[in-house]
Amino acid sequence: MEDYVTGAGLSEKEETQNMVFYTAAGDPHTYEEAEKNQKWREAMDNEIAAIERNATWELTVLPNNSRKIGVKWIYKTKLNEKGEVDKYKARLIAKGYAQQHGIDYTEVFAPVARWDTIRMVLVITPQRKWKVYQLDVKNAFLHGELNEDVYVEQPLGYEKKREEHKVLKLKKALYGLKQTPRAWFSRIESYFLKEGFVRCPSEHTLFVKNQEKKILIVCIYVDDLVFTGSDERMFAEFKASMKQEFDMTDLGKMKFFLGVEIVQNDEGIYLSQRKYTLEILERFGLENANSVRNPMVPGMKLMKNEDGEQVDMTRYKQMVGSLMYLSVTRPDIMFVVGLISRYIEKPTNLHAGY
Amino acid sequence: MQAIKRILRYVRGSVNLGIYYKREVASNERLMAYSDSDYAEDQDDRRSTSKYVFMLSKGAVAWSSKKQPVVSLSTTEAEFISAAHCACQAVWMRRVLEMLDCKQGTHTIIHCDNMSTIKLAKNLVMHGRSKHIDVKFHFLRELCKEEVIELKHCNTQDQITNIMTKALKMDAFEKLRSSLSICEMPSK
Repeated sequence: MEDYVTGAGLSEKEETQNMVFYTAAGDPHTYEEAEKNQKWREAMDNEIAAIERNATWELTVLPNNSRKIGVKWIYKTKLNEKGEVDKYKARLIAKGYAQQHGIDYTEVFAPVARWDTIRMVLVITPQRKWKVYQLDVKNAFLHGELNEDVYVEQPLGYEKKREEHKVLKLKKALYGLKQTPRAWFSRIESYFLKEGFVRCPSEHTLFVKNQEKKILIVCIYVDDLVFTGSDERMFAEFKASMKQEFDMTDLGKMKFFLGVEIVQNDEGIYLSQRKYTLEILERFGLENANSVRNPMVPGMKLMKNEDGEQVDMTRYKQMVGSLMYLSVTRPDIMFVVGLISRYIEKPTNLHAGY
Repeated sequence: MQAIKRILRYVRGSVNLGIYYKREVASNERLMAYSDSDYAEDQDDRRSTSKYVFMLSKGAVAWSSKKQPVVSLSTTEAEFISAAHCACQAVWMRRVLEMLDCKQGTHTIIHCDNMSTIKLAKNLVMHGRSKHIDVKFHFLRELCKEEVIELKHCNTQDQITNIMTKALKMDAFEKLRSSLSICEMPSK
């Protein structure tokens, strides 16, 4: 764990420089830039309102022997699928990297659904003429409840007058804290158990509710919920109860999930990653490359190439990673991707060829 | 032609492919597996690769291609390790399917193209060349005995997992690909 780079020692300036890599061109990097603009001020007001509506924190004096964790504003212009501006989003995040294990957090693991499970759920639906639906929880992570005492500083621009020295004690999770995903998962898990769902012992993100020979199946992937089953009335009840408990977006029939496009009709269900494929081809500058009809030269053997000229490792890793995710709907490339991933340590021209 | 760029070019030529789970009128919703290995496939450390594909109602639902953690001394041993790996996945999938109201009433067939592996899993005879693989051995034998899985022989050309082991010729590759339920989006 000691080898792990936390970034705790970074100065404000270095941190801002690092941030630049993650934000799209044009979005402000600092509060000082953002507060000059009405649209970002509104975005920050909305975020603070959502946090306060949720009873996330209370103002208090920092107890002795405790430390406060910094917070930071992140700004992002969200685009819709046509590439037009959808909304301006300001997100307040805690600097989770400064947290210390055993003091500010203990357990951090949170499960996500496996693709094997999601595909098993999907493959049975056409046989039973079921349709698959999708819900999205807004600000999911803010719902998580904290077990540890965590104090954060007051956010820039929203300090309480004459109480500037005070800190905020968190009752619920904030984005950025190490335990936040786990806190959210425990919250939604206990909600499902309370609602009469049974958790699958071999897959903790799969919940099933049986009622008079009718069945409702729900798969959780962080803040995305995929559900299907035999009875429309159970769907309606489930959605109504979820909306009451959390702030939800009803996405209707499952159409787009984690980069996978889904088409459902009476004949079957079709999954593809067409958009994702085009994105990775463009990212690696191969959108106009000649295409070939199979992923490997027949009879070819790959091996380590100690004397070969080493190529850009980061780029090689990015390519391997992108192709791995593509194997979610493309078992035909699974084997070759496994092969090339063996040479990630020292990729040479033989393996990469760019 | 260099490996990774070749894959990206293949992907570019097949952007419109996806996986299709078609409504099968006469489906018995029975899980079926294909297990295979590639003996001493890694040129550097001579370890083999385990591969499996699981099919349900003619759609591929789970697949894996993974280098084995140990060096095998024979193809039979490599196939055996692969079948044991596949059996573990089968046990897990059967449990999840049961939750999904798709209980597998009977054993899951694992197709394997190596006769000696099947015989080894069925007979409790110890052979001089296999006594050292005993842990995986007993696991697989137990599952066979309890009728959770059954190892069944299939011809090499029908072995779907071949798409994941060998660099294949075009026709063979495209035929296996379509039997994995990979196709363009059906019009309509």
